[in-house]
Amino acid sequence: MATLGFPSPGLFATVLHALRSADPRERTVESAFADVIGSLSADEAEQLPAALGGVLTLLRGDLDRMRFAAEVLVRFDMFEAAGPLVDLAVKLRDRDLVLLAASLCGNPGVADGLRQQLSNALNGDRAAQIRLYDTLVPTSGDESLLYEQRWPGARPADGPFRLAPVVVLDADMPAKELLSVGLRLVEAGAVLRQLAADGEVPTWFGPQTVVVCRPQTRSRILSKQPAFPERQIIVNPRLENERDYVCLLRQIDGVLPGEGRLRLWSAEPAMSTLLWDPDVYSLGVYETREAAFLTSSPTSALYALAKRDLLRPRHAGVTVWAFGDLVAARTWRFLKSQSKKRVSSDVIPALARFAGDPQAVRVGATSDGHVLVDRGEGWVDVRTGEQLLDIPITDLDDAFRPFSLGGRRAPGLLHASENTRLHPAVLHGAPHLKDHRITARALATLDDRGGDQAIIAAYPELEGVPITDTVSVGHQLVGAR
Amino acid sequence: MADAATEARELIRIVRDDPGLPAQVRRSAGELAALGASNPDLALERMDELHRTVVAQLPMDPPTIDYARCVCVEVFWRFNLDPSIKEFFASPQDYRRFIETDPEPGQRLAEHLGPQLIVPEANSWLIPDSSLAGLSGPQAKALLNFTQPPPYVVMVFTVEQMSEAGVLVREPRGIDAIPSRQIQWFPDNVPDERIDRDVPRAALGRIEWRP
Repeated sequence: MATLGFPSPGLFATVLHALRSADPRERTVESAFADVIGSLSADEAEQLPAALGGVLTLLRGDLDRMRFAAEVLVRFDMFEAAGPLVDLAVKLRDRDLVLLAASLCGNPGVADGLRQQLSNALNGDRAAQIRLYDTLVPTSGDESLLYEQRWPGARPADGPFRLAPVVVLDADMPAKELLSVGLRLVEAGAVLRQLAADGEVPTWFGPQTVVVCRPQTRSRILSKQPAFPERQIIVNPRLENERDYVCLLRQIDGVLPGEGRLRLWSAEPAMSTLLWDPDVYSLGVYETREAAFLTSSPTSALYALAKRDLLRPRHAGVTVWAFGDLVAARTWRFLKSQSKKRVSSDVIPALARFAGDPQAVRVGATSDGHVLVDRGEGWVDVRTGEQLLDIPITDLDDAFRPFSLGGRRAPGLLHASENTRLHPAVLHGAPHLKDHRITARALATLDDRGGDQAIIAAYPELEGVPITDTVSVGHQLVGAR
Repeated sequence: MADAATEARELIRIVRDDPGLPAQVRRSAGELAALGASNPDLALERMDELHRTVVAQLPMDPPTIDYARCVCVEVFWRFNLDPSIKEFFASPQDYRRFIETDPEPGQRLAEHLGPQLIVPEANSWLIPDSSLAGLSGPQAKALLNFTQPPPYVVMVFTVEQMSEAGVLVREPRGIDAIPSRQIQWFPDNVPDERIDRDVPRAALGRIEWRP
């Protein structure tokens, strides 16, 4: 996000409404803007800084709200909108606005002329100058404290208290992703900075800095700062769903040194349902036809794996399989779909007996049967604890996506269709309608009885809710063999 | 975030249906219903004006117990920190971490308090200090229906100091929901809550930290 086109009237109106509705004496910046950010299209997300900059002057009659809007710009480091903020800060000579403008203009993506315009108006204001220039030398304890907040490379390893970690986002990320990641990081207590695509790589990165960026930006950073730890550069994280965002937060937290890192409670509801948590991974109850559908295996193949003791389903009147069994069988079939070479069946018991890992950000497997976890520091074999290098590792997230093998199509495991979800901790792991505790099978059964009418009669809350694809999944589950 | 039409409609309803308000005030709100549907932004401005007119006329009484106001760190950093302290904390995140490591956080917060008004009238929602006694931050969050997470700064106003500072209190009414657009408000939303006019620094007894 580093362009400044012109926002639509609708976007201006949305931003203005959000600011007028949010009482700065009752709300945090992130809570006020969470709804706005979530509802933006890709283009609107690109234009948000311009929209915020544009409404600043409309708030001149309400200084508290104007400062609040300026705080939003600073909190998300929307340096592209520094111009309107500097103009107002200089004109109104409001100290809070001046300090906020100085923070924003500290980004090297801000034009030198604009920075100079603000600097000329500072009249020796040291707190503002420290925010603006990393070259200023602090002359007191308070100034040093502020300097270390602003320029993390200056932080001592054993300071009196841990300052907020600084996470730098590549301004060239898609704007919606940048805002979504930024919001979660701010909620988790990080300070956010953006790195402009064509701006200079700053020299103030330090041990409490993590960068999330594209490969080209990583190269730029390492050529300017070869000593910057590579483990603190996260390249091209996948950000397709809430779980991916939680994984990224955990990964960032994992590479931050020392104590007092991110406040991950903000993501904990989602984190507690992370698949790899041992309490979650062991859940899920699937009868054989469901397991067959979700693994793209014929039921006979599942029984054959059980006979060879590669899988150990439970027998409780009927044969029931656990979520780990599904992951094991599905991953084996996925590996076979990706390679013409033979894939060892050793991966099946290895995954079926994997007990989960509370710190895993990712879980992977190799075609010769190794199960690995990445806790934010690279792949480690779960059995030996050794790091594996130079071996092709399949991220299980890839095996969860749809794939085909031998004429059978495996649906997405966690997202079998657009409105269908699966999670081992929800409804015993049954595929169900998104945002509802209604299984796909139940919908299919009602559909057989009386179509949509029967479904709505049983679940009036589904009036107007898209369910067709989930009903279809339910039918496939019932009919699997 | 509710849209303007929803805010206008709900706030008009809250005021119109509040039996604790004078009939004339309730009628005035009800008369804005049509405007709320056709031009909600204008209706909201008229409601703001109604609030300003009405609150000055509502009867108030001297407090008889200690009251408290609970805010998140960001709000305290934004409005209550002395400017000479605030200028050296670039973000509320860093200020929170600074206070968290202080062995006497309540004391430190009190030392950092600025001379400005503690809270203006529109935000002077107070609850009995006894309601918060012994509660952790998460428990306080549940009691107060807060969306922002702990830690919190609890400012306690004692009876003695409120009396000396001339503070008067009353029960909140629907009209008080207007400035912050509290469309979820209903009578007894928070038990024993009171609202005040501007709360001056002189009314403050102590500050507590609730992690």
